[in-house]
Amino acid sequence: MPIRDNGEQQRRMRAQRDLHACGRPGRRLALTRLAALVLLAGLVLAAFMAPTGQARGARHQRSPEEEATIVAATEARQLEREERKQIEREEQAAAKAQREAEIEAARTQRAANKRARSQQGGARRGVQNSSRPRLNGDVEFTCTGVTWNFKEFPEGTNTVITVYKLFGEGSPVILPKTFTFTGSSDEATTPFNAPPGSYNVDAWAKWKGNGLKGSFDILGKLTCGPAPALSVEKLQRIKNGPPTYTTSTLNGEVGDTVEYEIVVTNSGNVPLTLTEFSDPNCEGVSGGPGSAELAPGAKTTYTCTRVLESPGPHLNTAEVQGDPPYGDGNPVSSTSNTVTVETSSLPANPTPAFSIEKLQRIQGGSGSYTTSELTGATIGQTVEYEIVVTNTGNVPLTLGSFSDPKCDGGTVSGGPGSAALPVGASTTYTCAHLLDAADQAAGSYANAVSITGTPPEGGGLPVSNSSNTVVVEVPASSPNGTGSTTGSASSGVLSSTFSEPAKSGVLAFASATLPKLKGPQGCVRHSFHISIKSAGVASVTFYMDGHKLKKLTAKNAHKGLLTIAVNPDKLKVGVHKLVAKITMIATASTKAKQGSRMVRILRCSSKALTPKFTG
Amino acid sequence: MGASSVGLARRCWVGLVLLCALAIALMAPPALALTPAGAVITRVSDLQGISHWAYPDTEALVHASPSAHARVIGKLRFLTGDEQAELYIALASARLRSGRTWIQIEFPGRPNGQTGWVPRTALEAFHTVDGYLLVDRSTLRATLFRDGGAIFSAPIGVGKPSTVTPAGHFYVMEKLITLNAPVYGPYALGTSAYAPTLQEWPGGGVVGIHGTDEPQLIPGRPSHGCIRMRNADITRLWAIIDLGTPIEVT
Repeated sequence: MPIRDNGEQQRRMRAQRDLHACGRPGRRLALTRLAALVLLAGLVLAAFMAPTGQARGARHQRSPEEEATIVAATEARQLEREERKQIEREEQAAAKAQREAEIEAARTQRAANKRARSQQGGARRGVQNSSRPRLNGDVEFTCTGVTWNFKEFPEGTNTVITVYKLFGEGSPVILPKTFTFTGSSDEATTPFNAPPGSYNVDAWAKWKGNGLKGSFDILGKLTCGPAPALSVEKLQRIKNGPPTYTTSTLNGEVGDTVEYEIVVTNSGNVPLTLTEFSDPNCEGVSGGPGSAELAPGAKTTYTCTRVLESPGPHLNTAEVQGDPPYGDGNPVSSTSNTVTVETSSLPANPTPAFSIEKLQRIQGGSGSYTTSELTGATIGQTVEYEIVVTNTGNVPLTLGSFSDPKCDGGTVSGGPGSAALPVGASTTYTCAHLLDAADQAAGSYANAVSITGTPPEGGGLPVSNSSNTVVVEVPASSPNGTGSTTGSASSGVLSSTFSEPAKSGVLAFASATLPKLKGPQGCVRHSFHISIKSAGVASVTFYMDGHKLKKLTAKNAHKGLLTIAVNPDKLKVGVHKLVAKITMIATASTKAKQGSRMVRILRCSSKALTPKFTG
Repeated sequence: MGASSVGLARRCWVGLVLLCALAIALMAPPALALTPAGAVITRVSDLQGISHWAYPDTEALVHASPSAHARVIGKLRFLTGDEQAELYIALASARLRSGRTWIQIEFPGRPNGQTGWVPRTALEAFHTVDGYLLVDRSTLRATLFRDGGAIFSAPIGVGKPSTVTPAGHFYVMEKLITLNAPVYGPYALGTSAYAPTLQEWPGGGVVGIHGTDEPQLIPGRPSHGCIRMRNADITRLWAIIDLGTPIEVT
């Protein structure tokens, strides 16, 4: 027997209950349909019989004319409402279009401004906030400043007061400024260089006047990283010309001295240590911060000079490197603008001229250099000389043929070397002389220095000048025939004993060995001197590669030396032999000894050449 | 059979002993082995602090050890290939029992890095120089040290892989002002180094330190062995570096 579940049993029981309550099912359905028809008829009748909404509540029955009037008025009001809504929709659309146009214009303007600033090299960095467009103005924050854009102002002159506050570590930085511009729009920038860090910024502007009053206050945030940067500007002026430094091209003449100023500005936001200053065509560089750091925004100035030695343009450019602190970015370098001096040829009337002043003092003494006579000097003391040469003409001069009989060999130093002495410039030579028995025997001596100045080609003939004469008194404090002369720290050329009074400036040495030749080391390119101690020497004859140059006797001795000057211009590049055939003075115990000494002379090419390097 | 085995073993032992002797002989420092007995050797240049150099006084022979009987490896010369004064940096001095003094010098030539000995009388008076120039080929930078500190540093260009700048110890041989050669810039320094791959180069293939007309290639490896600098850098270096300054190329 099949098993049925409880649900089916319940459904069967409900069917039996319905059968008992209503009799047959067809009869029950008919009654339900009849009730629905009656209800529907009632509703239709109520709809036809009911009054209109407008008449609802009326106390009396309206005529047909009144009904027509009411209907017309209603239709007119509806038409008016629709027209008003249409106008409102059109106005809203126009306003929306205008707003969108303004936003688009502001966006376009900002983009154009940004492009322009980018083209101008303005570094904008670390911008974390962009401002919202405003009706009469806008603002843009960067780590290098704030840029204000003012627009839709009345034509005419407008004045705007702005304040830019930067809140970071410490007190806020406040940059108030007033802008005045003519026209309906303008852009202005308040420069600033924010150190590395994060900041809250507040840009506030207010304007009143010219028929317009308003303001805005824009807040934002800014994060700035380290940005080392520097700029270099080079300026120049002609010495003894207009005093103002300029970047413009100047006109100069051969012999003029150009003075340069190189202004280095730390345009970044971290301190910089300046290194590797380079200015190839400049001499005597001075100034600058040295090893000290250059703070952000700070400037420092180097100076240097250059002598115009030839016609034509003389260009100069400086380059500087700045090293930021460790961790604040990489070193940066900057090259300056190039300044030019157009140099004309020599002056129409070249006048080579110079002056010489000779000064002296006792080494180790308390006195300063003087042109006055030195008294009370003693044998063994050293007299120091200072020779100041000044170019008083109008062409540069190359100095040569320096001759001073009281400058001991090897003590001459200073001077411009092979470089030309500029017009108006001075140079100083120094030398020394060890007071010896000959000086003491003479009681005093007077001497002067002579120098030749040679102008460039076309600048006139060489000129020679002599200095003032200076006198040194060496009183005879020691008895003749005894005593000793000790070596001079400055020259080291004299170290001897003597046993009899000096005669004709020649000391009779106990040793009869041949003195050595003293000549140049390395290359010779210019005139040089070969000397031999004159002590005990009767005569000496010099030969160059076997060719006789000159014979000197004891009478030619100066300061205990027999010296010849050699001009190597005619020597070929290579090694040459200079031989001195020496005859010593015969003494009671010895015959006149003869012998020879030789020095090697190395004639080199000029330093200025095309090297044979691998490249 | 047994006798031949013993003979073979003996020959093996003898060969082994000979090999050991040869190895010991090769490992011994040749200079020490050839230095005359009793010679007192003193270092005269440390190549980073104080160093000494001198012009030659004669065209003396250069020996492998401080003895006139030692092998000759060359001779001093007065002029460089650019007709400037040749100079020699002194490394050490050896005072012999006889009282004579010999000087060990760096001897420029191929291969680089040769040293030799000459009598003291073959050289003129010593010149003193302080510091050295470090040329670092890995960082492409040259640094001049003086008094223990760096006083100059600049980026450089060195040799291409095919014409490499040689490594080793050298020195500044000459200071030149370049004429009619923008490729060398305004100034140049001749060194004692020779390019290992350009033996037929005019002048013998001397490695120079000079400026350039192609500063955009610095730092880099564009040269034929020379060390290139920007013109501003070589101008500054030329002004402050002395003849005879040791150069260390790493």
